[in-house]
Amino acid sequence: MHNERNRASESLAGLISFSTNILWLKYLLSIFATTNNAMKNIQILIFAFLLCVCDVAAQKIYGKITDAQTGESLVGATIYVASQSKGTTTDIDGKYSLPLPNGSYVVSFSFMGYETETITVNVKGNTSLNVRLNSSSRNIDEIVVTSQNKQEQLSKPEMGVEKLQSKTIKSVPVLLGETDVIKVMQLMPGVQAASEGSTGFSVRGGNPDQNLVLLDGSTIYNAGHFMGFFSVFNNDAVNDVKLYKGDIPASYGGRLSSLLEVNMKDGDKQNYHLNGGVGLISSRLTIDGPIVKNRTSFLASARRTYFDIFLPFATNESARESSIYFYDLNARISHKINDNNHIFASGYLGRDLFDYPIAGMAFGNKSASLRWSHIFNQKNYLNVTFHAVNSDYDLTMDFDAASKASLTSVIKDLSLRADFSSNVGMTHALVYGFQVTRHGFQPGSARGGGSMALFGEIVMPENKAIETSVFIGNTETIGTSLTLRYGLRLSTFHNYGPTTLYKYDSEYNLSEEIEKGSGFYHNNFGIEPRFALSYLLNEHSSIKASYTRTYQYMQQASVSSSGTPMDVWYMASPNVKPQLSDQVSMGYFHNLMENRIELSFETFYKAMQHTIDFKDHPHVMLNKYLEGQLRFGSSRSYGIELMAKADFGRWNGWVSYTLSRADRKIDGINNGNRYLSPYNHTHDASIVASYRFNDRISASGNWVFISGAPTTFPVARYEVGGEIVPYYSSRNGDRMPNYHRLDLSLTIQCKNNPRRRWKGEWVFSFYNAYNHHNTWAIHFERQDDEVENTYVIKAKSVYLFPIIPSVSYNFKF
Amino acid sequence: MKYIALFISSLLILSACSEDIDLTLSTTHPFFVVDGHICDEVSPYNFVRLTMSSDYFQNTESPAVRGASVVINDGEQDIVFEEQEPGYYMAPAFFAGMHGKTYHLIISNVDIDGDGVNESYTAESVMPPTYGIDSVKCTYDNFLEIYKIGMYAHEDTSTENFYMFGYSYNDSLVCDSYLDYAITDDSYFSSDYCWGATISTLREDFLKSGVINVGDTITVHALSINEDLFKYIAAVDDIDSGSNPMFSSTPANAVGNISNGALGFFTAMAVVHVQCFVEK
Repeated sequence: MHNERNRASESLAGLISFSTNILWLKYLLSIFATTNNAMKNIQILIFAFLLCVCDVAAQKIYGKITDAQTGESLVGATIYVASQSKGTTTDIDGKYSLPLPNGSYVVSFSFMGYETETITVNVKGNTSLNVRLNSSSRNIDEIVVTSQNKQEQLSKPEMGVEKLQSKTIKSVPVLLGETDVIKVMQLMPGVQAASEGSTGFSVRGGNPDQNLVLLDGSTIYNAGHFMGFFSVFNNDAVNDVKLYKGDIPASYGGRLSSLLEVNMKDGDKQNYHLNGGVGLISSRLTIDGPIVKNRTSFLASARRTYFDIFLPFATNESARESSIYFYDLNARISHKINDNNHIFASGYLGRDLFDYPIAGMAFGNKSASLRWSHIFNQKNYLNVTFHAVNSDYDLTMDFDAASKASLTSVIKDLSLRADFSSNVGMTHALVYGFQVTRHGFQPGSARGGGSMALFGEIVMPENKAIETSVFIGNTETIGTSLTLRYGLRLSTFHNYGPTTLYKYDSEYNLSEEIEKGSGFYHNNFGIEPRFALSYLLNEHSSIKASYTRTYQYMQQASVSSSGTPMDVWYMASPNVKPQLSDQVSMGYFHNLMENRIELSFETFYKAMQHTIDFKDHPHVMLNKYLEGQLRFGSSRSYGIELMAKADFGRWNGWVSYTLSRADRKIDGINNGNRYLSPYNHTHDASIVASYRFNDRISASGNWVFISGAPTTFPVARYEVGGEIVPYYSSRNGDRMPNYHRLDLSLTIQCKNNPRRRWKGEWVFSFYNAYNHHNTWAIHFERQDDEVENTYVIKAKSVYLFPIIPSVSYNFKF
Repeated sequence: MKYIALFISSLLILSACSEDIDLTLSTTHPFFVVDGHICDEVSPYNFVRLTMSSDYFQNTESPAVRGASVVINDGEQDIVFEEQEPGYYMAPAFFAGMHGKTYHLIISNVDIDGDGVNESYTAESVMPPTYGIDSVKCTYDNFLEIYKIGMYAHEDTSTENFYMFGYSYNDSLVCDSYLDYAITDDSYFSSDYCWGATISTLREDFLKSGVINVGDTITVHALSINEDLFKYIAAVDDIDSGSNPMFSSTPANAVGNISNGALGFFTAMAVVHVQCFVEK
């Protein structure tokens, strides 16, 4: 048993009592509600936050839960005091805090896949208790379906949240053996791939650009490699993933549909480890360990594909001179200054390269973050984070020496964020803070080159903005059954120059061009209330409800459903109002068979305003007048989500089913009539199961069924200018064929010599095991070769992936 | 940019497979369709074709609309187009359009909805001016392994111009439908003189003879077109290049210029013919 116990000194007496504090807050919020001056409001809110920080507290136990072998923080581990029917889970850093009156308690610390520790604690004042849990299994790929305490699942006022640990992600069979966080998320209810094999995903009928994707808190603008078929997250460097499908906490916003948080692993502060794998398309290597024992640790992870090593053997000369690959580098350093101060630095660099003799493309993301974590006292924590993000793409065309062209597009973000958390009394857990981000988008600059350049220089005006937010949220426990979570987020978005503004008339034709100097020229504000409650009906069941309002100030100009890395982001502006979503959801949760089966039933309704779609035949790329291509309206989505998770030791898995509808009503599209969103999938079902035969062999499989995506097929043909032209009646009035697929995998551990640290395993998998030809696109082709009749058109179905076997070898040292 | 999309699409399509699929499509009532063009010279292409639309998988020629009255008014007089083959209404033998004139098409004496009352359909188009082509040149590109046709011409930078290029090979017309032509707006030309920019490429499989010989004659047909036709053909091209989840927007109709809910297009276009020989 690894645990250390120490008793913290009694905290200072409270300078401001809890009740006084809340009164102040209420007073300030009332001023806030009646003032129009935004700056003043922000000052008031910040003052309110500072006031809260001063609050100090009563008795509790607190500490950190880590993996005994790796020292990795365990997120979502459960701390439970049976005698008090009281519990909590660890936060994103593996930390927890549980208020307890003075006395002696039996506290259990548990986490799926780990042995439960039961410790008797004598609480006197604030008691620090750090616990290290031992992995319960020697199997390195054990599936972990649930990562949170079953009872907690019922009582936490958190809905529409899906969590995954790296281990779960690893065991789900995927395309070409490339373990993928996002692909596993797509098996959850309400989450679907934007198109076959894509890492772009739609949450509850929303667009892929309505998901805020954060890697250690830094925004990832383009989360796909190789045209989106692989995600940028290297699972070896991932600790855990959390997806909020609607009930987004007040501390985050800026996207309408969801928040996907991906957190990187911490390096082990005790020992060195080497992890890696060799797969069909890529190899991975991760190394982590202490720099200064018990004080500073590092983790570095790299992945690179090698499709290109086969290219020199190609018969085609152009192919031999081509290169095509992607790579990822992840690094994280954590340093303990003292018990109350920690520093974390993390970085990500990922890039794709396609190089062909006449054309090349490169795109990627870079992000860096530096976080300072400070513990004021046992009740008040502060995290200050600085983020820098750079996302770009680069195209070059080189037809011959006389005509060349290049195009680049860059996004640069700098951001500062502070998160405070305070536990007030036994029943209130406050979080509050702010974030300020400077966005700089260069949507595209193109240059022609050579003596016969196809075009000169086209430079799109740069877009710059400051996005700010202040937020406050509180989780309040009332009695033993009712928990409330409420919060408020104030977001602002300020465009600033110098830039060129274009104005459009009612027909969307350019009417005016205005040069803006430096300084702010357009401001937007949003007040975003968040509310959630959970009520425990009895030991086994609970009901929950939530309401969430979110604003989105930036979106991606994707005209296609899955999008490409070349789709630029554009901002709210005088022509584009920020998108706004109001979502209500309700759910019923029930656990059966001593919590081995968890059932959930959720229903949601989302109403969105200022929804954006593109006009017919849009021109998006390098178009200065992009905003004139946009059409605005409203949209909605609603549905029910059912999920049953089971964990019977050897057997575990889940079944999920979603019935939903998502549609839009946009001026100037489909004659102003309501039409289905391209992400509307009426039925979406998945079954994920895994079985452990023995300590060495386990198998898993998943089956998905998704209703065909809405699409537009012609209803008639006519002849003009020698062409057969299709005629369409309504947008998205037809359906692609239904999609279904079975994937299987088998994991075999090599015989381990207990004296050797080297552990290896083979993973064999089949993607699309019964070889169903899922339609990716339908083409209508004129049969030119038919001499007799040149009027024949046939429909062709294009599918991307037949059955794809793969094998990979993973090792751990 | 389309090249990049095509390049990546081709990579995907290489690994992807295609097979026939049986689709049952919805249907709609038939529409009246007008396909009319006149140019600034006496030409067999000065005609108006009237047809009806049909179900998408009809797979036969569109049914002709016969017995209509087709008149073009140039602001001074009515020019009557006579039906010579079913659905084909030809201009009088002497007819040639004049630059800058507005031509009104009036189609009457047709009862498309079958309610016993005749309807009339109209459209109008301005004849654009021609532009000054000095010469064209057809040379072989060793890298792309293709014959390219380059153009030397003055470009009027004071107006927005739209062009359409086709060619005949040894006096037989190679481009006989909209998409066989290359269309471009003047942003393609970076200055007021176009110095040999590629306007088309030769393809053996498009030629009757099937082979390209040095010294063969190429006649470039350079057409000035109106913006609305440029947009219409661009839309037809957009539809024709097919739809997939990665690069394509939702398919949508090409918007024509005929009144009263009819489909199709009526347009005036100015043409210049320039000859050259295939060079090594």
